[in-house]
Amino acid sequence: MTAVCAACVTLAVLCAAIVWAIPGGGVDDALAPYSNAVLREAGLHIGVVLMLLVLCVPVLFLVGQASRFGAPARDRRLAAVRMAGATPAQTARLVALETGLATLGGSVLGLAVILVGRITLDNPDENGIRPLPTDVAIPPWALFLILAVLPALSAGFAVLALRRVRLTPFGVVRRRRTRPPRLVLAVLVLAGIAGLILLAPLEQAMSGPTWGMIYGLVFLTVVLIVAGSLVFGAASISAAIGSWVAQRAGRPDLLIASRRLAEDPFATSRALGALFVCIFVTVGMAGVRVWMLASVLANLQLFGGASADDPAALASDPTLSFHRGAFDLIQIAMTVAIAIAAAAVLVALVEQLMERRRTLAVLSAVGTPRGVLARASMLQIGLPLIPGVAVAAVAGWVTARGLFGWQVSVTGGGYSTCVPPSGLGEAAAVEYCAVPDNLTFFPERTVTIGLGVPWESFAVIGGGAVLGTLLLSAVSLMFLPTATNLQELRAAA
Amino acid sequence: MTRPTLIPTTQRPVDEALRTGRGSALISARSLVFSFDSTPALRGISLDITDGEILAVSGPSGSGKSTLLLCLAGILRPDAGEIRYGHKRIDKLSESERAVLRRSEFGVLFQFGQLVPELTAEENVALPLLLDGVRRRPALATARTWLERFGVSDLVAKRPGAVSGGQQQRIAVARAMVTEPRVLFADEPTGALDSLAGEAVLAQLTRVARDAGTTVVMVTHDATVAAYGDREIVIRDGMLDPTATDRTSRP
Repeated sequence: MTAVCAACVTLAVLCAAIVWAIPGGGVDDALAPYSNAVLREAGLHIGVVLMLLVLCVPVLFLVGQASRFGAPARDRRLAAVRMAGATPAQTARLVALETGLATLGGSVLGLAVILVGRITLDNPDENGIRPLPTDVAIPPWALFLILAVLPALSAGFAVLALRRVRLTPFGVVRRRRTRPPRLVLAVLVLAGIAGLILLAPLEQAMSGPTWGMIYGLVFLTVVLIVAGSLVFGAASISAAIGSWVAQRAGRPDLLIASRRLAEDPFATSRALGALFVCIFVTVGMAGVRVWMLASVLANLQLFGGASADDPAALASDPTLSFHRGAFDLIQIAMTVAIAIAAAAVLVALVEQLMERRRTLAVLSAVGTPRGVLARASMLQIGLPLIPGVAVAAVAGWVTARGLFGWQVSVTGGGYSTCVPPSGLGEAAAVEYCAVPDNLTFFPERTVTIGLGVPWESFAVIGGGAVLGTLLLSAVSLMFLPTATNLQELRAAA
Repeated sequence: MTRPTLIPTTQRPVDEALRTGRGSALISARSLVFSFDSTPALRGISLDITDGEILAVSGPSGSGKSTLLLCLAGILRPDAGEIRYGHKRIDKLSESERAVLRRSEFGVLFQFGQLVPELTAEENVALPLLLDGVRRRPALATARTWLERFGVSDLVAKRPGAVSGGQQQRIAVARAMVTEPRVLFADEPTGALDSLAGEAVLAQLTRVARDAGTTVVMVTHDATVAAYGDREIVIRDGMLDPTATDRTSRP
């Protein structure tokens, strides 16, 4: 699992590094000779790099969740090592070495995939235009990152993960987190959203380079706080919802689900946190898309003569369709990220079913219908999922608005143009244009387009994520008959 | 004998034919056979359990006594033979029908790990009532009544992990009894407790069961525990031990 995780992260990091290393770009196709416009335009490279790095987040969460399945086997092995005479420190070093080597193996595998891909996918046309940047060398710093920094970080985290674990010769004792999650993290998300809403008008009102820098720093800090709180505050959201519902639940499935959320909110929040961040980024990008398309449209209306009421003209505009295409690609990447995060939720649910099979078997034995247990399992995900997705979506939207404001205003005009009749000499043309009546005056005007809330995007992203996650989570119910197997009672007794 | 109503009961479908009074066979098993894969656990056991009696099923470890209890309770389906509960053939019922029977007519008690760890004591006890459709407030009120009967009313808001093994077992007994089951199946109910806590739990369990007229089938390997029964049968190698079977063991 560690090696697979490392290989995936290596692929994403190397792809990001290669895109980052594409020279030039912009309007000069000779500098960025790729058929894909996203790779050709230098201004979009940062977006592609960020998307690739964001993809790593749900992958890390998914693999982290899936690796817990292998934990019992590893625990037995570590106990055997302790039994053979190793000290806890020696065992921890063994864990670090194992993890570091596995990560290095995964990194090498990922690097090999990239190197093979560079050869097999390098297919320039007769003009030397390539579909992918297979001619760009991998930057040396990226190689150092994946071959040295990544294994070292991985080993460090493996040792850090042992802080709640006691390695004994008779087994590995895990200290369960009994401290309730900090409510302040959930409050921070809401405070961050409020902060972002307040920041946008401030940015419009103030001007000057110093203010711009200060605003940028404050904005970045607030965004990082919101994103971090979404990951680490998912447990707080789960616990708060669970406690509230448990006080009122009259149905057994709701009671079991809400109490479980309140008592062990970390069980599902690890996976939900990744999903919330993906929603945050996806809706944020949808907000950027709205701003970008509105900017292009305003410019077209001001300078290109296009009318917002002429859909045919807009649809055929190359600038607009280019930006639409670029954002569609980002949307696809984020959909993949959401799907991976939803898969992590599924893994978390299956793990819980297996972990709680004794309790589930007893409940089944005393006559609890399997449907009640299935609904409890789904509610455990559904209760924090819906408000969490809503909060993440709002956070993403206000982040985009904090960055670009709530409307687009483009000012232009205030100049005259003159088109002299054909056949005039240069001197005659100058004389012709000196006559005011021969000038066409374009008065200064401002085109303002309000950035309305894209409810449709909200519904598609948020609703799709909730529905997709619930459907994928329902797959875990296939394991319920195994988890409630009544022979478990005899085996455990 | 009419069973006393201790608390407002939930509406449960009780077969009137079962209410035949103490002394008649409430559960009859004939030629029960059960195997775990290729390992035989029961080899043709037949027995009758009369209404209101406390039956102790004892025997050495691995003799098949727990398997017998799980079959009688409708948790496992025997490979061969028949089990009658009144006029009902338990072995012919579907899993969902047996689940309804277990919830409405039977109470089941295990050695350990039977309480939902996240629920409070009162919620654990109220759970069977909620499953029967009783509303939250009356279900919790009934649960508190039962916790009081077992002397653990001060633990209503505690989670199972925060109380002792003996207290956990009393909460579990309260949960098993809260629906006023006609039969209580107990698999080594004091197996995880020290002798003092075990005897306290047993004394309360048998007292409440006798008051309520509940039939109890109790599996144990401990002679002290078996002595709490009206009758004791001994299982060896999946069969009734004829030399030790059907002896009255009540002190």
